[in-house]
This record gives sequence, C-alpha cells and structure tokens, in this order.
Amino acid sequence: MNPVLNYAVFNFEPILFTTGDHTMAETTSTYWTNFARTGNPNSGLPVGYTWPQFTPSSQLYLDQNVAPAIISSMKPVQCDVHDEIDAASTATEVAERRKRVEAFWNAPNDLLDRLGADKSAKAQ
Amino acid sequence: MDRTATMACWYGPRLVAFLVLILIQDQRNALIWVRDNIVQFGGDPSSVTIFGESAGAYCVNDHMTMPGSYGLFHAAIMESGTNEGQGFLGTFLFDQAYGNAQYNDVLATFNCTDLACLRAIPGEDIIALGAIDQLGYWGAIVDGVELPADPRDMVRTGDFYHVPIILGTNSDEVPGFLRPGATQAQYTASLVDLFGPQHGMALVEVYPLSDYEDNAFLATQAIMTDDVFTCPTRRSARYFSQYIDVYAYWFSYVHSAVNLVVPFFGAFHASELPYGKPKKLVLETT
Repeated sequence: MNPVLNYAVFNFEPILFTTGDHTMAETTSTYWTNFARTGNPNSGLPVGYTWPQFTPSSQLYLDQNVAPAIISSMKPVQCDVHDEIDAASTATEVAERRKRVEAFWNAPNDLLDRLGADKSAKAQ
Repeated sequence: MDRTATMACWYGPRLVAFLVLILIQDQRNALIWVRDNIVQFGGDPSSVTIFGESAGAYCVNDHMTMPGSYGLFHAAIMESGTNEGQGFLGTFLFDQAYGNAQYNDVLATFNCTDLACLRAIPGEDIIALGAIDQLGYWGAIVDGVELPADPRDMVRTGDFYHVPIILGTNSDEVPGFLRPGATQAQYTASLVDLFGPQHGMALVEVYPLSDYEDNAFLATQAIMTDDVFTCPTRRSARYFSQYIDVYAYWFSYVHSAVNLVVPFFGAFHASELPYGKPKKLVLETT
C-alpha cells in the first residue's frame, strides 16, 4: 500500500474533534458498552435512537452517523451481483483478484497504462 | 501481543498441532487469563466481550468457529471483517493442499528439506516472509484440529459458538483503483480484466459511472468496498441471524478533518475506531 495512505489508514486518530465527532464518540461507545454489558446495544445507558435487530425476515442496518437512520436493505442490486461472483469464485481466485487490486494501489497508473490510458489524464 | 503472518498461520505435515493458528492460541491464552484472573480486577468472568476490527474481526470470527475458544467469551463485535469474506487472520482461508504447498515454499526458500533445518533459521528471516508479496497470502487452514471445517459452512449450518454479535462495515473501506479521470471504456475494460467478461459487465451495469459523478475513482471505491466488505457482511448477517442475535451497522460518518482535507477518503477502513471504544472493555484486538 502507498505509505502515506497506509499511515492515514492505520494510524488515524483524530486530533481535532468537532461537535459531530463528539456526538459519534458518545453514541457509538454507548451502543458498544451496552452491548458488552447486556448483549443488546439499546439496553443499559440511554440511547437516543433504537438500533433494530437484524433478523432473517427484516434485514435492518443502523446507519451510524450524526443523524442515525435505519437502512432497510443493504445495496440489494449490487450485493446480488457480488454474491454471484463470490459463489462462482474459488478462495484462491478471490485472493488473486484482491492482490491485483492492491498492486494497483502501489502503482495506480499501471492498469490505465496497460489499457492505453491518455497520459495527460495522469495529473488528475 | 499476538503473533501474525508467517509465525501464526504456518501449516505443514509436521506442524499441525504445534504452529497452526498460533495467533488464535495466543489470544485464547489471554482469554483464559481473563477468565482466571479478572475477578481480582473487579471484572466478571461470566461477562466477557471480545471485539476486533479488520484482521481483528476475522480473529473474533475464528474464536466463534474454533471449539477451543468456546465458553471463554459471551458476546462479540466484528468491525469490518466477517465470516463470508473468505478472509481469516486478516488474509484468507485456504485448504490443506495450499497450506502444504506454502510450507514447501518456505522450506525451499531456506534450502531446507525438513523442520529441523528450518528451526536453525533466524526468526526474523522467517517473519520477513510474511510480507504480502512473499510466497502468496497467509491465512487460516482448515486443519481439522483447531478449525474443524470451513467456517462458512459451520456458520451456515449453525455449528458455531452461539453468542450475540454486532457486525458492520464502513461506507468507503477500500480506495478506488482507477484515477478519477478514467474514461468509460477504461472503466469497463478494467472491470472485465479483473472480474472476467460476464461478471465485469454485470458490475458496469449496477455501478454506472454516472452514479459516481463520472468519477472512476469513486466508482471503483464503491465496487471494491462492496466486494470485500459490504456484501460479505450482508451474507454473514443473514446466516448468523438464523441462530443468534445480530445487530448490523453501516458506518457512514466522515470525520470532520478528513472531510475538510481529503473528502474522497470518506468513511475509510478503520476510521470508526476512534469512536467505538467501549467505555468498559476487556479485550481488544486489531
């Protein structure tokens, strides 16, 4: 991985917390703590927004953001394609594909060059 | 500190009971210590939650499918890493043939033919092989000892340690692999190149560039994020929730400083960590 990106990703600790950042720290740590104590993120310390359980029949997600929301279906069209790809791929094929994607991060121009990219687009 | 990569995931005919998945065994020893000693610190050994992010999340999943860890914890949180992601110990799940081949590669690298020879090699030389470009990926092996079967099959059939879980992913886990200005033709060609003609074209159709401001970086960011994280997590949640309580999340909040300086990073991999630290925590691993 690109060293700068690597640093940003794996050593990221916010220095400047805004109100939004504080809200996220408060709500997320409350859910996590409640869950550790009771097995339910909503039980224990008061939460401002009830996190619905994901069940086979109602596949709900909590959108964790400053204004939390419920996501009733996670990228249904796209994930069906990815599920198909997964079912059709061996573990080694998946590993190889991800390895190639990582190689692009290390030298992001390689793929475009191989595909005959316009050199002038490199600046973008 | 647990051991990783080469030291953790070795598999070989003579190593099965000793070195396979040592990383997991290290973590298990920590859990055993917690069980035996946490009461001295005011903790409750019958209420232990483990949580991990990325490779740590795969480890958490391992403990849920490795019987040696059953009973040592009572709830689990997996952030950005799930059972269906074909990934374990931060890398990948492999069969015994792959493990044998990798073991033989290690022997050949050091001009060895047996374990006795390998034991004389300095540890740092062996650890250096864990770098991602050396000898392919490292991962858990279904050895029949620590890991009884393919954990995906175990979860699908309910054969795992039943405790409540939280699992989820971030909205921008994986950076895109094309430059923003790549053309439609280049976008299509790259996906066909990576995923093959049938699946590549299917992806072009459900991720039209126009949905991403005609920006190939953002479009490929979404595709790889979904391929590696979003959709495996959806599959995992579907299987797990047939047997246990599941709470699923999608972390979309972009830190204010990130939003100011590099907004295209979005809610990237691990960016939720500063917020999710529990107020009372027993074991964390990343």
